[in-house]
Amino acid sequence: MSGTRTALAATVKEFARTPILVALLVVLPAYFVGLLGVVLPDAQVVVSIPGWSAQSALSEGVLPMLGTLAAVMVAGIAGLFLTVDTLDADGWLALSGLPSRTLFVARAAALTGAAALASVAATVVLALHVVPEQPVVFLGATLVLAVTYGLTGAIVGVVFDRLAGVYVMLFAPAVDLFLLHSPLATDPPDAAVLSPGRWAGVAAIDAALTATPNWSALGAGVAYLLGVAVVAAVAVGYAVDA
Amino acid sequence: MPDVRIGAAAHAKGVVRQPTTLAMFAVLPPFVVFLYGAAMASFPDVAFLDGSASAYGRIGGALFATAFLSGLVGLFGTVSAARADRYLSFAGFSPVVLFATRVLVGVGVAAITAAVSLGAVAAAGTGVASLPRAYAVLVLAGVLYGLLGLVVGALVPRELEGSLVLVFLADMDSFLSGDVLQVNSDLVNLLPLHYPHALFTAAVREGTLAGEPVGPAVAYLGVAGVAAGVAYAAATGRGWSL
Repeated sequence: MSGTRTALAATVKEFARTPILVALLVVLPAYFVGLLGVVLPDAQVVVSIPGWSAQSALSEGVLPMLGTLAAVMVAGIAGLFLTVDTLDADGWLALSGLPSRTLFVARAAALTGAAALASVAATVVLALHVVPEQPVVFLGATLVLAVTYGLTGAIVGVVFDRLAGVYVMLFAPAVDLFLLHSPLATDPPDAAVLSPGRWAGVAAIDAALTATPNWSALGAGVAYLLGVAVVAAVAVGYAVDA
Repeated sequence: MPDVRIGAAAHAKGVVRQPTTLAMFAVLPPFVVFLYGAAMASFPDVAFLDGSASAYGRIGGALFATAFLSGLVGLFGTVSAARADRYLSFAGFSPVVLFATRVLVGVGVAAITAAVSLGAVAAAGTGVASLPRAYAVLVLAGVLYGLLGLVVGALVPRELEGSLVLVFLADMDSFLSGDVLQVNSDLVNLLPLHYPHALFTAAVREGTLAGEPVGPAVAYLGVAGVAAGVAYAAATGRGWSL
């Protein structure tokens, strides 16, 4: 445990050392949701999620999805850079006897903290415009999806360099949430079930728009997160030991 | 003239040194164009779409893929070479030449990415009414984002923080300038891709730019160029940062 604690403290210190980064983790989702909340009109549209459909104001129907997307993008890029920036150092730490699994747990815990910060910021600003029907479930589902994309960013960081990684981590969540699982979309392609947004993302939008939690989607989202965590642990562990 | 040649060669080498960057130019824009086309097919009943939803998605995807890739190259190039450019400036290289050569390389990146993206649009089966005009608009969008990447890189000279800023700017731009979300605010006119989107859509569909906002788009490019020049001169001359 002390090894994990030490590695976690080092990671958190690294984040805290750059206050502009910590500020951006909060400010960017807040600005994104806040500005979109101001400019989106109250025009009535049909919003749909699997098994449910209703008429709603555009801002009420779409803004929760954009709040989730903001938190997800921050976490994804943070996960990417956390991996790319620490791979070398972690390689030396592993050589000196710290297990790579311990290092991964510490990095994942720090990443979860960053994802939580972004999720809370997005949810709080969202609530200024549109209060989700089930705020706690919405926040929980958003956090699950944000951590999922954070760990996906870690995997991408092993495979690509920074430039390609940022490109991938911009488009992946945007296509997933804004296009494939947008409440304005009615007929996503079959392959959309493979994306994480289909589970925790739909659970978040469901929690924002309806009074009944979609536990099955959220449960599948958590299972998806665990699967991604295993893949990330293997990929990052391999890269650290290599 | 030798200074220009040396500066352009150095900046170009910085771009092509990474094999994954080269692969990105070839692979990612077509992938994004395909994905946007497929995903937009989920919006079959959206009234504001004039024509095929897939074609609309490909148009937005090509524009966004070109612009964001150029923006990232501008950002990462500025961040990674800021110190070197500062030393070159101290050593007697004209900052104007350094800036001009960086812009020149940015135009080259935009030209390559635009060609690949436009090829992907045509290959996907979307008829392009005027290839030269559509290509010119895509290059304009790429250069515009390349300059914005340069501004962000000069103001926020760290890759993670700069990436976060650019990603949120690009996403907001992509969502609002593409009219997927109907917004009545004049703020939309300030988004970098607002005018290029209208121009590119007209070039692909009608093959003419008559009656389209060519002047504002070029003016926007001019303003971005001046902003990039000022930010770059300040960053290389005095080494200031946030």
